[in-house]
Amino acid sequence: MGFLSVLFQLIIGGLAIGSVYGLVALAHSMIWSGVRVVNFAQGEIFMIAASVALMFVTGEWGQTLPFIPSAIIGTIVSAITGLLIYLLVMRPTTKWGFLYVIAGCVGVQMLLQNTAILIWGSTGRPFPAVLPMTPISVAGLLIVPQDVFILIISLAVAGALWLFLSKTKLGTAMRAAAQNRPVAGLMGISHVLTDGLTIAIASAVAGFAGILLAPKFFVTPQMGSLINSKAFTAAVLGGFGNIPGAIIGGLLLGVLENLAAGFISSQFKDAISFIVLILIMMFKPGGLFDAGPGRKA
Amino acid sequence: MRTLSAKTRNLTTLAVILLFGVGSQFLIGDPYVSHVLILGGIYGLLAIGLNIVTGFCGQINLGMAGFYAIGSYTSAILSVRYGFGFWPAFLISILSSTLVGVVIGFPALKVRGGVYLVLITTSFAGIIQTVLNQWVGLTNGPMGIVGIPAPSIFKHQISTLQDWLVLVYALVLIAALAAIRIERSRIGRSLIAVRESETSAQSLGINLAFYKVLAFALSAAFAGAAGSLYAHYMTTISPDIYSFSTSVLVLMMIVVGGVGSIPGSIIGGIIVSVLPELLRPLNELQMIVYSLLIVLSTIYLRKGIMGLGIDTARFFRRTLSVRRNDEQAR
Repeated sequence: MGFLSVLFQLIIGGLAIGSVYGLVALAHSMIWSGVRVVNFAQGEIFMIAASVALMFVTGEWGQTLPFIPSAIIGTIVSAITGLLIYLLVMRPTTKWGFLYVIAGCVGVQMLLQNTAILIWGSTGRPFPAVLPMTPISVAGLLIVPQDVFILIISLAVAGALWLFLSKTKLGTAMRAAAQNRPVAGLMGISHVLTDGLTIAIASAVAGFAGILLAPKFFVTPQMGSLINSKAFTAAVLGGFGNIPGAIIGGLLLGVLENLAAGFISSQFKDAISFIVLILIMMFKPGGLFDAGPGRKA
Repeated sequence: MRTLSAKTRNLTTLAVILLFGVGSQFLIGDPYVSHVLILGGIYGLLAIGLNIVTGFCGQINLGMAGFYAIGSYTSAILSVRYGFGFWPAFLISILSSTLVGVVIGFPALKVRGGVYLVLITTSFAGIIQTVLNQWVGLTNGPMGIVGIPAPSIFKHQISTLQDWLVLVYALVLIAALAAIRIERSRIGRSLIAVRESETSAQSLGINLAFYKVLAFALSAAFAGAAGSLYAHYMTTISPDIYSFSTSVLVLMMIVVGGVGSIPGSIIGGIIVSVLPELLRPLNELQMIVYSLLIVLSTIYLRKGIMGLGIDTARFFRRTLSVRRNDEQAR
């Protein structure tokens, strides 16, 4: 197998996992730009969605459902979880300062992980893949169909979200509230509605990302925290609060990570994201697309 | 109406904690209880460190596990491989951790806003943990380092739990007094000024960069001391102890104990280590109730347990003094 073909495979694999990072990063960016809070328990929403969907796919509740209805149920559950976390923990702590929001979210993270251990046990469980996980040969290149599926579906979700935000009236209202809260309020846009909708949609996207990624890894109660830390890096890479930037940041991070794992050492794969984060903070804290102080990318 | 000065209040609380920590061992005598209390003391040291950077200076640090790990591993490697005694190893681990604190302080200066600082510090701790796991030549990888010798003071070998309890709480006392001294000094006042408003602190001639880096360095020093103590106490260390959840636990300690209060940090450290043991009868619900209590305390106990104590004391004093005034009027 030639160098180019290895390179191509690493890039495809990286794009697949990167698109999932991108979706979670997009959820962070949406919440930050719309509501000005950060949900540090986003990774656990991701995990809950995957676990709930798995429960229906494997028929733990008596009846086996196909992938699509299970994914829809998982996504709805994650939207509700996100909304509850926002209402019960993040809203009451916001007025006391950022430290308390973090402490509250991290507490929720522990709570959800332990609840998941209680319900589903702490061992990893395989999630049946929609498309085969074994690579097939296309024009001399080995491609894993599931990777392509993940990539296409996540880009489609991101695209649909972009259409919703830019073309519908509700989406425009949400963007207006994100851009200038007081003025949007004066124009008759209800903050309660836009905040709730932003949180619910973002959590649903993060949860859906979890369901997409689940077949590639085992479903465990701890699966969310690592993804969450990478999603943060992806969000910062694209500029925190920048929605298209988050997807690009995620794809970039995924490819970078996979290339590093392939060509340098797979052991330091998880450290790549941390190093990228520190470097970008030091040299370009506004993200890759930052035009400079005072200007919005 | 007589109000206790903040200084007396701090000293009284410290005395009570120490009496509780050391005294309870001689009362109960259960080895497991003293083990938990010793860990609580070490956590208290960590929490004091975090309180300097987060409580005083307002810079959120979610990477305490990294500094803790550096303290532990420096001490362990020096004493196991190079035959250093406890005290030199202890001092060198404080120094090395402080140096790393300075290094981390610099990227932390560049960012504005809590989110970025949280991400930088978590990434730092993540890098440290990867190094602990992967640099097998230095850290022995996931196997960890075993056989770390127990310290001795004036030729007295610290071996029993009683000895450890006295040693740990003596160091906690020294650390707490040092931290209270820092709080009342020019440095502490400057740190608090930076927390309240960076702009006005700067306009008063406070060097922002210097004090922020100093806060990180000081907190790293305390974490290094805690790490070294932990290594010598446990005699074995492995990378999984220094994970993200440890950093989170330290943050919980100061939130539960009271942000900005040094006695509160020690109380928080002890509570966070004792509470799971108290909840043990709940079996599988143990960790769920534990995390639920922590979430509730962040929502409802804004000033932590220390603040709750002060508020209760103030409430009673006020009601009592009102009654006394009534009696005098009669």
